[in-house]
Amino acid sequence: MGIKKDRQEYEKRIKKLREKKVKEFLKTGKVIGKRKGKAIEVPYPILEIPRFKYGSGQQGGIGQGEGEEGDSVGEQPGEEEGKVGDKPGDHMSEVWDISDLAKMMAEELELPNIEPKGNNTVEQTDDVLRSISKVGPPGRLHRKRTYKEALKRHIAMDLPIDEFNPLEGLSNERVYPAPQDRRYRTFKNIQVPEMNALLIYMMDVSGSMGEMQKEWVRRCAWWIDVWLSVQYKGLESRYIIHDAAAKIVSKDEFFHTKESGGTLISSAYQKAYDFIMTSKKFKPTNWNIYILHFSDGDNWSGKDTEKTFEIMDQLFPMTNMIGYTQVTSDYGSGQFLKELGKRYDENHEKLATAKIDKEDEVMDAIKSLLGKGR
Amino acid sequence: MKPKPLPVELENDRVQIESEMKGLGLDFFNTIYQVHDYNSIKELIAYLGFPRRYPHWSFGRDHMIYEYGYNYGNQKVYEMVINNDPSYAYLLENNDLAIQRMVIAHVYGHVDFFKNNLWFSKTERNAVEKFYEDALLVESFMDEYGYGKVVSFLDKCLQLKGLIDFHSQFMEEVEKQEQPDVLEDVDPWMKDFIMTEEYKAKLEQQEKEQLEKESRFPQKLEKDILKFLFENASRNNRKIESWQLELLRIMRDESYYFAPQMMTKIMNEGWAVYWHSKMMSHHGWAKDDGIGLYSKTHAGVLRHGLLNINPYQIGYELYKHIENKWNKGRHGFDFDRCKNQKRKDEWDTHAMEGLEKIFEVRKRYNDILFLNEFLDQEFCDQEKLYDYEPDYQRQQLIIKSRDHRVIKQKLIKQLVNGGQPLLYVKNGDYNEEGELLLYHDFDGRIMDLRWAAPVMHTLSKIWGRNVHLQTEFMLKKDGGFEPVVISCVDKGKKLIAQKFNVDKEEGEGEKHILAKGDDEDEKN
Repeated sequence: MGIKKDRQEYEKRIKKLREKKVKEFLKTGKVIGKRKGKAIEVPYPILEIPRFKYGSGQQGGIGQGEGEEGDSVGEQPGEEEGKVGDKPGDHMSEVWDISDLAKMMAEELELPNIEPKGNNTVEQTDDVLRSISKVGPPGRLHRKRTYKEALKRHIAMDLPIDEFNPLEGLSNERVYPAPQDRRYRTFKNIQVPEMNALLIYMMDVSGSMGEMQKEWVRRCAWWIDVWLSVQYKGLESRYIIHDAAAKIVSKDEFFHTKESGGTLISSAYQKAYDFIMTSKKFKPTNWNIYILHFSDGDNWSGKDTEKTFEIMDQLFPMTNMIGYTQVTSDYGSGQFLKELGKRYDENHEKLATAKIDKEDEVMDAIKSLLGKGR
Repeated sequence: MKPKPLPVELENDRVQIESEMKGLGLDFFNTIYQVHDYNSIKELIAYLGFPRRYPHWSFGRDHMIYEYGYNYGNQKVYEMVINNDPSYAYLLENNDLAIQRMVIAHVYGHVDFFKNNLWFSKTERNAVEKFYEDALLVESFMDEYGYGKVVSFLDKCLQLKGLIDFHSQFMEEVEKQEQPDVLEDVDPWMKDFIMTEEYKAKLEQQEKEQLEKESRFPQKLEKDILKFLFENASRNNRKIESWQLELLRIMRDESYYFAPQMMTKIMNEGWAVYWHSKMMSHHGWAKDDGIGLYSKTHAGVLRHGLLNINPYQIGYELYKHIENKWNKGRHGFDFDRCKNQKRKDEWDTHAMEGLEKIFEVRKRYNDILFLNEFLDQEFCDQEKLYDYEPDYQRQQLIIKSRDHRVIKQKLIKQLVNGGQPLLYVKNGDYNEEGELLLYHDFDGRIMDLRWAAPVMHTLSKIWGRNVHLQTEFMLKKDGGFEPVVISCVDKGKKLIAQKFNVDKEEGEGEKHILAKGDDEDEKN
């Protein structure tokens, strides 16, 4: 009993709550927190005991300071989020390791791990000094190991060894390392598979794609990002938006651009193809390339659809996967998904398709995109 | 926890500060100061200053929150003192000496307030021991009935914390005296003049009401819901066990113990700041080497709140405002009546009654009375107080007024009943099936029903029958507020609302589903 026990009990409850929350998030595909590299910053849940209370922010309040009538003193807080019994702590957050989240994600969605491209193992030097060598610069002398070697030699040769006696102090019979005892820290050469992946996100920003559709895309992208960044060591993303023409944009622009034009899907794939072919960095032989396309599938012409397939045929050998997700917009759902189905076999090893009609299908889409284990 | 006494140097200062403050008219319980390291301070804060509390995870939560705040540097508790005789105060080891002296003076302010303020007069003054005994009792229940089972019921009790009638302690039931029979000694011819038809009807009406009242259960609205449950739940709910009633009793005692601290937050903190400020600056206890640090800390204590008032600051300034007014005689009939602005501005009778007045105020007032009587326009202007309201179109909070009447009204509304909705037990035999009807005294603010659902479920578990709540609600959009009765069904997962017929005291018409509660369900 005491504070230790109380604290443990609280943390036990928080852990349960956290797991429940992740499951909920995984149901709707909502974004959990802020990504910071391999970590995710999420609001720390505070368990509150339910009580009878007033709804928040109904009547304003009293404050202190300068200002005229009508001046703003702050933003109106939104509707209180979260369920009864817990609320995010004020300015309190905790950091989750992304791999923990990915693990839960894998369990929930039953995702297979990705086999990285086979042949491209390269010899890489590990960037940590974790091996031992008999030669090396003095700066990397491993004193402990060196002393151990010297001790071994002394014992083996039955040389006198000083034993520490607190009354007499140290005698002169010390263990001296000879040059052959010296050991140095060094890098280790290891064979590692090239574990980098390039993600090309492509989105249709034509007039028919609404805010809701973009939110779904945002959620898909967030979770796919989480999953792939655990599977690969290095993960880079590029963003392409298109209506009748395509361009490469920043992540921010990707989610916030709205065009009004029509749609030529081939433009996006062409752009992706050109990007890969001209890039010095992203060689298909060294990189696991993913193309993820989101559109409402309302292509302008059948001819363009044909053209798209031609480009896709060229892209398949270069990529791990092309994922196409059709999102239903206010204007309905187009034909592109159907055409894809006609053209390619359902079990095509490099093509994954998904369809999102409503919010709770986001996670199903992610599951079908990543479920191939590519 | 290893408390240490004050270091010698500080102890010497304390003795002097104590005698100086007594000389200034303060009158406090003997106060025991202890120095603690960070770890045990953390623990004490989580337990609200008590060395031992019953085991519950909510203390662990507060411990964690404090630790987080401390680690990130935005929270540093300088003082912790409990209302007890003798009082205990805790200082954080390694704080600067100037800060420790400030805390010592501040604490004496609080202890004087605890001892002398009317609203504290009925509190348990041996709380340390009492809480300790209660903690042991709860622990023995845990040994007997299992930790999980007891904690789960404690969770329920904590939801009901504060459902008491604080003012009942200060009220005495006045027995209605038997009315003498007015007709007894009267000449018969006068009877008709006295017993008019009107008077007869009135008497009958009174009798009827009395009978009706007696047939009701409870006879009048009962605000002390915890008491009502404690006294009556076992008659209604055979499953409730005596240890569970005992936990309800503990929760009720705790609520009564802490209630005055909520009722006097502004006054109590203001009083403590007033005295530490007086001691530190006017009586030189900041000393030359500590004046910089003290000023900085003091300024931090008095910072303005943008969206909320800072009770330390408002309380402190309001005492000073009162002191100033009474020193200059700027109050009363003549002053209020004076229309000559120039004369009014220069008004000073050299009455010098300020100090006496604030001592009187600290004795008799609570926050509501304090603000109601002394918050005037001059003070609001000086403290730059404003009233703000949400502007839904602009999505902003907008300054609405600087009128002291508006500000006062809103502040008091926030303070009534500790900021909690006013709830009463109205009928313990609702629907004539022994169900419980609560009554919410609606003042324009609606209750958060998502939060009410689990609490109502808890009440029904304790009461053993369904629990209903009479409140007001907008059932139709823009239809205005109307009386409704809210019932909790489906194990607290769902709330339904029905129009409430106040005369017949029953719900009628269509049932609306209002809120889905948490699907969290207890295992025990």
